[in-house]
Amino acid sequence: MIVSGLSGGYPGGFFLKDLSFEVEEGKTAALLGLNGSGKTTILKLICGILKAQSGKVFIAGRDLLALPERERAKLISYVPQQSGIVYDISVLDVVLMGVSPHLRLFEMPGDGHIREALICLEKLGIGHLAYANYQTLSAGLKQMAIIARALLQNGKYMIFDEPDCNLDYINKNRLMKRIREITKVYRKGSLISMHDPALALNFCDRILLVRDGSITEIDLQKEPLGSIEEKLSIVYGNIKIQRCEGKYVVFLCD
Amino acid sequence: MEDKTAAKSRQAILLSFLLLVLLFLLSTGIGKVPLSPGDILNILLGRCEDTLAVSVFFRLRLPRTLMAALAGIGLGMAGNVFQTLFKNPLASPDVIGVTSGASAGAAASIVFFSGGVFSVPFGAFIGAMMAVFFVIGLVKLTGARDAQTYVLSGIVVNALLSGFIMLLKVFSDPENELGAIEFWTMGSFGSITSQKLFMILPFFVVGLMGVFLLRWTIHLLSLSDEEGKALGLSVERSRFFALLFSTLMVASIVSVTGLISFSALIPPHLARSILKRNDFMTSLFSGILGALLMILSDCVVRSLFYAELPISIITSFIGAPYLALLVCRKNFTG
Repeated sequence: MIVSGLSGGYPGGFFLKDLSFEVEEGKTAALLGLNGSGKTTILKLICGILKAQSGKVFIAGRDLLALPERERAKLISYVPQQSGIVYDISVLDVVLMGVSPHLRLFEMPGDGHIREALICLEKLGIGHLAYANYQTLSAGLKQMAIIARALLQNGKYMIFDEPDCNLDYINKNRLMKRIREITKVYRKGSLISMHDPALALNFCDRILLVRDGSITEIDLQKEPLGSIEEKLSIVYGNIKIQRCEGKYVVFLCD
Repeated sequence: MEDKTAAKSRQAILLSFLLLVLLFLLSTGIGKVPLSPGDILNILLGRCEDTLAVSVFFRLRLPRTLMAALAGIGLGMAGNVFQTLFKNPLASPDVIGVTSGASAGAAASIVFFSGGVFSVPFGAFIGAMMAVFFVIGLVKLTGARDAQTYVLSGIVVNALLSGFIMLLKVFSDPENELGAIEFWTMGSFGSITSQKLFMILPFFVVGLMGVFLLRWTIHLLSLSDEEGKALGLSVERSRFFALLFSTLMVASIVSVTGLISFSALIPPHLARSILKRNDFMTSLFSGILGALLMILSDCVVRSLFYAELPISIITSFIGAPYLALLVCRKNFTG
């Protein structure tokens, strides 16, 4: 996915100008930044939820922002912080909604779609919950169901808006591990906005750091620890990173 | 493992439908000229000699009961659509001004055109649709097209129309017209004829077909607007059409029956709490439950006293306690 010269925002309010970056296939990228830095706005611009003023977002050579909603939804899927579902519904029915962009006008999902939805639930390890009531699930499992919906939607790229925000410590780590696995195994690409730099360091391939409307990239595979520390410190203050048993430990020295 | 909820939903719908057919037939026998199930069977088979019974059945009971069933189905289904679209278990077609528009239209035709048999339904229908288009126009004017803007615009239009209705009442003739306006807002199936039934049927069917065709779209509109867009739905346009078709259904009904309180609020609740889901199946079930409630209430109003009662008295006495029960159980999203 190539984002080039993307500008847009809210009329009379928050506005982002001329952003360019890339997320490669099979890779997971974290979008880090403080509150109000514009992470969510960037995600919404890419998905077309918020109309961009200018710029292009390419996936497989097609400009997302020039496509109608339905075509765009076939290339990119979006996992919100929380789904807006208020009434009782089975997990399977939540996942089935993901098939929408592939349905013709007035078409309903059929048995084939139900089988595909069940497979998506299996991929996320929650196949046994297919007929459970979505409303009674924990926040972590709800998030899994929504990710299964995104998988069924079958976009090349997946966008996550702070997926870890309502989760406990264990579930956060589990979720990030799952997202990375899926991204790698099914050759997707993921862009995840989040707050915790430690999660980003441990589970992503690349960090996109947002500050004052511009993006600093960190390639976690290539860059030395010192350089990563330096870039993170610009946003967060004096950041120290240490490696311990193959994992990163991040702390703030103030 | 199999899908238990789907099987349960099909059973519930089938069972309630059979109950509806039974209640429908029984209802055609209740009234000042009672007809036994045997009489009804004979009439249907054309073997009945009693011309009065045949005439009562075909000219009074059948259109009236059919209308009660249609009203229940339409209001129940539209209620479900509104509660889904506004993600609020208290939403009903009243929200966007259908009912106050119909009242204003009916009142205007009573005052200005002396309330003829067909001018009242006509005025009510025009009033209802105009109110809805006014709300939609107001929403377009604001630029924001989310569900909340519809609610706010609905409040504006409702307030305007209630002022207009008060004005009409003040200038109406207190002997006849004021009473007619009041009576209309309490709803009744007493004046239903097959002519009126056939008059509104095309509008009702178009509304129903629209809701049926849009069933998956309406299901998706239960999500947040952002999710809907990300799933490839053109949210604003879809919401417009879903509202249009469901209000068409409601407007066609209330234009001949008058206002029927609680009839779009209670059945969707009941349907959701029984089926534990919210989609087209729930909407359909809600419609059937609405028809059951409506026919039952209509049987009560025409057999309780010598003079017929307005239908809203009964639906209110059924609806309000049910709502209180829901509040007590804090089962509001159910």
